[in-house]
Amino acid sequence: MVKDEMHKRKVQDIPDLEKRDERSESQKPPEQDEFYASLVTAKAMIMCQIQESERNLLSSLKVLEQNNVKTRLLVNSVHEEKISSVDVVKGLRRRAALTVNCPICTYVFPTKMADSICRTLRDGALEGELAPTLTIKDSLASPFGFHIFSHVLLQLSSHVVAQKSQSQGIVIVALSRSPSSYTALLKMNGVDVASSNKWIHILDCYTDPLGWKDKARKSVNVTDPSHQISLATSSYKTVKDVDKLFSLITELGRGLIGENKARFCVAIDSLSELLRHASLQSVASLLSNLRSHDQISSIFGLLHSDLHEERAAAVLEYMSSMVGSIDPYHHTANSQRGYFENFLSEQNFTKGKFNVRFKRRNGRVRATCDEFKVEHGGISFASVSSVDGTAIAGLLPKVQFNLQLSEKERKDRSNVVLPFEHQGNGKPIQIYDGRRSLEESNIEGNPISSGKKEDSAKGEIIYFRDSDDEMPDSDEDPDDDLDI
Amino acid sequence: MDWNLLDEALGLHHTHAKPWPLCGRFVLVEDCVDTSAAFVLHHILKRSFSSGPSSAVLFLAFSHPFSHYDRVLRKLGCNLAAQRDNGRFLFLDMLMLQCPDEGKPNQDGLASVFEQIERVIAALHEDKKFISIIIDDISFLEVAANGSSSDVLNLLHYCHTLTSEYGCAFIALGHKDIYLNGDNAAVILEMEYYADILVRAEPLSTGLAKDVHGQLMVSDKETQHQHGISAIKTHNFHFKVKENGIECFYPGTKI
Repeated sequence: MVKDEMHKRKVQDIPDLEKRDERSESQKPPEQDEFYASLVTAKAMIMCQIQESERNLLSSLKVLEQNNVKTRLLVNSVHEEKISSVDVVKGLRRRAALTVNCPICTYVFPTKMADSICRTLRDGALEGELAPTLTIKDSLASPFGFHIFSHVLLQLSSHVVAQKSQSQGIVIVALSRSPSSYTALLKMNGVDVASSNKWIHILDCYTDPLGWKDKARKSVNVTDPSHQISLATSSYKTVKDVDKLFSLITELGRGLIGENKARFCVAIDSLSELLRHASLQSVASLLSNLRSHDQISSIFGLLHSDLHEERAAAVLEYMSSMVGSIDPYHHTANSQRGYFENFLSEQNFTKGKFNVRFKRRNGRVRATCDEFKVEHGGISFASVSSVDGTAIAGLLPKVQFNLQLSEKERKDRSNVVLPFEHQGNGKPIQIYDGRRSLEESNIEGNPISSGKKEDSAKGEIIYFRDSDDEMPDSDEDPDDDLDI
Repeated sequence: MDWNLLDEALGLHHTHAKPWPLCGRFVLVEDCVDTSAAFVLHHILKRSFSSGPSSAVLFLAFSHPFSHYDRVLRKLGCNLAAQRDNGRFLFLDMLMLQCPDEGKPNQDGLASVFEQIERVIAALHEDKKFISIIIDDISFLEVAANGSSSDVLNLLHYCHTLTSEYGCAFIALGHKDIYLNGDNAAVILEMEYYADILVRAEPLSTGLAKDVHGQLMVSDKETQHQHGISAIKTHNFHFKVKENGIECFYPGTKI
C-alpha cells in the first residue's frame, strides 16, 4: 500500500521527467539535438554587423541575451578597431563562447582595472548593502601605494566635483601625510582648492597623533606655524582611541553633506599607521562600522602589507570588496637587491603590477592584473593581457588548420540543414530553457507554452538550465563594470 | 664646488631651486656592522654649513660626544665649535639620556625629547630658514627608550611632522642588521616607509678590496614635486672614505 502510494507521489513529483521520456519515445530526436540546444542556450556566438552606432549594438546585444532561445549558432566577425569604445568590444567578447583574434589586427585594450575600481567607488553603496571598500596593498619592493592612493583620490574627487558620484563629499583621514601635502596634491592636479571646503575635509591625525605637541604648546605656548592650509582640516590628537575616531569621521562627513540622505566617501591614507597605534580588533571594527554606516558611500585605504603579520592583512582583505595589491614588475621578489648585485649605476623604478581582486555580492571573485607606469605628473595603467595577446597572435599563423572559408565552402555550409531544423513541420523549434522568452511573456500564466500550444498531447521539451554561470538569473548586471 | 656622486644622488647639487635641497625631506641612512655610514652624516653636515648663511643644524648625539664630531669635521674643513658659537650648530648631548623605566610605556621620556627639539626648532626658525635635524643614531635612541621601538617610531613620526611644518630636513642613521630576524623586523621597514630618501651602505658585494670600502645605494622616492608624482630613482656606486672626505665612483672606473 505504502509503496504504491510512494510510487504515485514520485510520479507526481517528477511529471516533467516522465513527459520528457514520453516525448523521446514518440519522436526519437537525434542525440545531437540536446547538444545543440545547450549550445544555443549558452548563447554561443552572435552575429553583429557594426554598421550603425555602437549604442544600438549594445542594446541589441542585451535583446539577444534575453532572447537567446531563438539565437542560432552564428559566427561573429567584428572589426574591433572600428569600435571606439573598448567596453563594447568587451561586451561582445564576453558573450562569445570562443574568440579568435585576427592575427593581423590585434586590438589592444587601453584600459584597465583601475578605472573600474574608481567607477565602483564612484557608484557607491546600494541601499541595504555594505559600502564598497578598497584596500590598496603595497610593499617596500614596490612602494607605489601612495601613487595609486592619490590616483584614486583624484579620480574620485573629480567625480564628486562633477556631481557624477553617489558621494557628495570626501573625508580624508590623514595619518601619514600632512594636510598641506594634500592641498598641494589637489592644487597640482587642477582642483579648485578654494571652493573645496564644501566637499572635502581632512581629519588630521598626522600632525599630532599622540598629543605631544599639544602638551608642549600648553606649557610653552608656541604659536602654530602651519597657517597656509587652505583645505578644511580638523586635528585629532588621540589616535589610539578608535571609537572616537569613528564618531569624528561621521561627524565631519555629516558636516559636509548635511543631515539628508546624501552620502560621503572616506579615505584612510595609512591603515598601517592606524594598526601601529591601535589593535587589529579595533581597526577592524572601525572599518566594519564605517562600511555599515548608512551615510557612507565608499571607503578606501592604503596598507603596507609587509609591516604586518599575514593575518592582519587577511582580516582587512576580508572586509574589503576590492583589494588592489601592488607587486614589483619583475618576477623576482627581491628585485631591488637583484639590481644592486647587477650593479646598474642608475635606475629608475617606474613600473609595477597592479593585481585587483573584486568580490561581488554573490560571492563571485574576479582577479585581474594590470601594469602601471609612474610618469611625470601621473600614473598610467595598461592591461597585461594586451601584451600577452600580441604574443599569442604572433603564434597564430603557425596553426595547421585554415580559419578562412572559401566561397564554395561558405555556400555549402549555408545549405546544410542542422539536425533540429529538419524535424517537425518546418516551423522553427523553440526550446524552453527555464526562462520565458519575450514572446512567451506575452502569454501570461502559461509557463510551459510553446510546445503545448502546438501539440499538447505530444508533451514538450523541458530544459533546465543547470550551470550557465549565473547570467540570466543573477540580480547583477553583467556589464556593470563597463562604462557605456 | 665640486660635487661627488653622493651629492648628486641626494640632489644636493640642485641648489638653484633652494639653497638646501633636503628641506622637507626625511633621509634615512642605513648601515651595518661591516660598513659604517657615519661618513654620510658627516658629509651632509658639512654640506649643510656650506649651503648658505641661513642654514642651521640641530644635532642629537646619542653615540658620540661633541669632541668626536668636532675632530672629524675639522678634517673635512669645517669648524663645528665656531659654528656652534655663532648659533648655527646646536648640539644636544643625549649620551646620558635614559627614559624613566617604570615598566610601562615611557612616552613621557621621548615626548620631552621631542618637546625640546620643537622648542629649539621654533626658536631657530625665526632667523634660520633651512634647518636640518640629525639623529646619530636610532639604535642608541632605542636603548634610551628602554628598547621600546614603538616609542622610537613615534618620535620619528613627530620629527617627520616637523619636515612639513617648518620645512626642516630630517636625517637619521640606523643600523639595519640589528633588526634582522628579530621580532621587530618591521621597525626598520616602517622607517624605510617614512623615508623620502634612503641611503644604504653595504660592504662590497664582491668581497673585500683595498681601494673600495663599500657600496652605497641611494634611492629617492620623490613622491611629489612641482610636476606631480614621479618615479623612484636609485643610484648605486662605490665609495672610499678618506681622511679629508669621501671619494665616490662608479664600479670599475677607479684607476
